[in-house]
Amino acid sequence: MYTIQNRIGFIGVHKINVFIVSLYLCLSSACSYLPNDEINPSNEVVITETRDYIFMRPFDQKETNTGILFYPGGLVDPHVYNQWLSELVLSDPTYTVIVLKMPANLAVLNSNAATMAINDFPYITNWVIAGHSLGGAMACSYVAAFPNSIKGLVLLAAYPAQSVDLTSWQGAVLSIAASEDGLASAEDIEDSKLRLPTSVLINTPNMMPTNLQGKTVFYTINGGNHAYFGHYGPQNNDGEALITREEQQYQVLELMRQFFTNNDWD
Amino acid sequence: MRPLIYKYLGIVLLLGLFLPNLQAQQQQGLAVGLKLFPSMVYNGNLNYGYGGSGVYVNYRKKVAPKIAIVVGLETSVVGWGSQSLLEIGINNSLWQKDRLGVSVEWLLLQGLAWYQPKPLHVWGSEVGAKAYWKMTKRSDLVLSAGLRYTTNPNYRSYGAISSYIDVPVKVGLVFHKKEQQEIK
Repeated sequence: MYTIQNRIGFIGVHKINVFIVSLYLCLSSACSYLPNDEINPSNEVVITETRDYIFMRPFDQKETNTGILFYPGGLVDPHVYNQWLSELVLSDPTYTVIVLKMPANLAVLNSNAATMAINDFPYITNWVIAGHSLGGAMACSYVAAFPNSIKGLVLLAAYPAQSVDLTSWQGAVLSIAASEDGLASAEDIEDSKLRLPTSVLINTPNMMPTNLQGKTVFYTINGGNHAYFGHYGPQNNDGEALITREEQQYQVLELMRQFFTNNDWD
Repeated sequence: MRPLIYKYLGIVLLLGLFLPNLQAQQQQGLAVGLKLFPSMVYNGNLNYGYGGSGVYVNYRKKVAPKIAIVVGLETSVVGWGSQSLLEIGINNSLWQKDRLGVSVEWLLLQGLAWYQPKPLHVWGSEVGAKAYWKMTKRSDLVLSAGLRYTTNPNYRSYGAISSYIDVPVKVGLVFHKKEQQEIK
């Protein structure tokens, strides 16, 4: 009897099926969010792109002391953050922002990507690492692996993995959540306090404390959601925002500016 | 929401390749393997780096004593994200002695980079030299290296880098029926 098994030899039908299913899973699960069409970074910022990262600096920058490494969210194109990150760069002429590109747009596949950028800019003395969602979780892992390389950590709708303990880290942490976030829940953020340095809750950016070493400042954006931390979406399973994208990103910028100023990173 | 057709396009492409392959397997070889993309150039700028990796599956049908047509599918992770490409091309066997052989292969690539809300069209071409070693009567180990150009023209609306020239290195296996040993 001539069967399909005969035709395809010793590979075996079941192995081919597994292969095809695996391929399909790869295809369907690795679909990344592109930026929305309205993205329009500032003309006063120089944006340079390499195969490994997107590099932003003010047009008239003469020196840079502070580098902000940004890990994008999972399955999100790294350009979705260009709009508000370019405005962050303009906050201080010494700021440099580096958005790291990840394999398949998944930071978990290259959680140590920051090392290469740090090596490329040896003159930068203050390194702050920031991340959105999965990118934030991987930023925490990076800090846990290289605690002396990083002075600050900014988490946007993100928290460290269960296996990562930063409680004794002496850097400064800013954790920004959004009340309508359907992916990083308030419970997840609350649980993360056990794995981050000492907690400080604030209600407005003006309440940002000084002397932030070894502390985590928590702030929740009322009415914000997960996708409004970038220029993409709507994202599957996310909540409905009660404020505009611009309002949410303005609050993120104000918080980060205050956090940087109070840490003397300028 | 992305249209339903995009969600199922991948499996439709795969089934479209797989089912005819079962019909014609007697006269051809099935190849599977890994691709690595050391990269030399992006957007015309010379810059060495790692361009990504992928897997491929294809089948080849002999159409002349040393010529085979190749049709297959590649799914890979590259600079702009995840993509799936249809491969169509020609394999020309150059030399064979005992268990060893050499061939050249040229492929046209057409496919999609997987994004929401809509995928983007990717196209390119790949040429490579292949060396093969017969492990058994019905299977070969194949190593290959070459040059490859891919571009994602519509990605220019979002990012600065929309084309790469890579040096694809492939390692894979080819499985044959008894009467079709010489096509690699």
